[in-house]
Amino acid sequence: MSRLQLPSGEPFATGECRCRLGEARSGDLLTRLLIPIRLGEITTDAVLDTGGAYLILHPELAAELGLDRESGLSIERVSVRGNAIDGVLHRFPVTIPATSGDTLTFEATVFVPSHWDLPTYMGWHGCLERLRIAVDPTAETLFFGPS
Amino acid sequence: MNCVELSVQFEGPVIGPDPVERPKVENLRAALEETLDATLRVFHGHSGAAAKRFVGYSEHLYSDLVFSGNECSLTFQVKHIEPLSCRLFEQFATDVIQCVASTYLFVGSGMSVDSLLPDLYEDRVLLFWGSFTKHAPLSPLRTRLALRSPTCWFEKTLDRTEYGIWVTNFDRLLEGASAKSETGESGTSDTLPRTSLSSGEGSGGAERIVEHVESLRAAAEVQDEDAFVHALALVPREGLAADDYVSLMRLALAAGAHNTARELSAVAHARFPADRDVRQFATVLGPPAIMSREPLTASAADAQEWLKHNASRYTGQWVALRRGELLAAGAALSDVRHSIGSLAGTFVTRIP
Repeated sequence: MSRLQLPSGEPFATGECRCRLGEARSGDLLTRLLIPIRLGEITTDAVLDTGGAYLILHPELAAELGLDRESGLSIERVSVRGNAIDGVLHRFPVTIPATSGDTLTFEATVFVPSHWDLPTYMGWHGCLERLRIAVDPTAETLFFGPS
Repeated sequence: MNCVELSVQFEGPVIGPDPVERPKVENLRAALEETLDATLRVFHGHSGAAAKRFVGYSEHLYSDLVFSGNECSLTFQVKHIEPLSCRLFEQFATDVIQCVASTYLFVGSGMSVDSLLPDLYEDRVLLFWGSFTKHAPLSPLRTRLALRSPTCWFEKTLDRTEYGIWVTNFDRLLEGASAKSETGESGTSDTLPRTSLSSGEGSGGAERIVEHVESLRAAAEVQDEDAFVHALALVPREGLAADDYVSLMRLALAAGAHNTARELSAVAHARFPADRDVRQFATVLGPPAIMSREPLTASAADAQEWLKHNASRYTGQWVALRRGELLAAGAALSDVRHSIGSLAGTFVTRIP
């Protein structure tokens, strides 16, 4: 049972996990919120990006998961935060492992850029948009659940 | 205002053969009175309110219908009821919108309503959709919905171009609708997508479509989402072929118009369910879907704790961890995998 509840008594979230602050690039002045996600049998962390689109997966990690050009939808150019990037779109299950409550799995749109030197990003459109999320930065806790 | 009010406003074309038809809206009014009653009972049941309070509920339901020019407004008021929670209220409004969107999206798609209805999973959506499908005017330019209660307010204007976004349970509806075609191949290049927009049968001429291609391409080139959406609104949709939709979706992605790309994929899928490329776009670009909730398994907290204290020593490298201990580090993830045999069950990340 989540500690967060709506006035009606309904739980706001169904799970909690630990999050951390980190850099997207070495030397960045701003830190990002990173949360753990499990893709297939591999767990990694991803920047929570409510202004972005899709789960943008590092190509090396995508290769380990078998997400290649043949199994996806090749796109010549996708506009990602003002950058035009070519890559492959996939549909893939994403799991947020809980430290408390229930682990949640959902199917999201995953974009694997041909070249990417940033961490994996969890964007709003196509990925986070069906989740309830709340963050307690002091406790380094992400509350999540289906919306 | 001690009531919940739902208003549905249809706007017909200013000039044309499809004015909003009074008999249809009258029928819709009667049908919605029944379904509104049933739907709100469901929501009150969910909200925990005592069901017996609403035994005489239908006596408190009022409706009004006003025609003015090419517009008509249909308003329902439900008086003297318990306020709905905002979440239930929004869900209710969403259900209504989905019904309207579904109704209009599937008009002309070639699919029969009878074949789709069994796949609808929400009773209340089914009730509303059934009413709209039977009775709503089929060619509105816009549908305006407003839902008000003492504590909540929800308004939405639906353009035709938005119906694909709101259609309910889209993937399930189209599952198994037709066999896949074996044609079509995704192109890959460093240039903008091909824009081989052509006219379909009875479209009234390719010129009308082609004249918009350059503005779509230009918007995609500079990643101007607003300009792309504006240009797309001018493209006549009736004559578009499956390949045209694929080209438009690729341009929308290039422009950063991700919602538009999704909407196009839903509309294209409804019109060309057998087309392999269209189906792939619809699958990939569809909204995320919750798959499961399970009791907690192994968390990543120990890996995060390790990163907090040790990450700075592995800048620019991939690290693989298990139970909070470093297994391997390397410049390439494939090197890390080779050194430990398999990445299954590990936490891996690249330290910036």
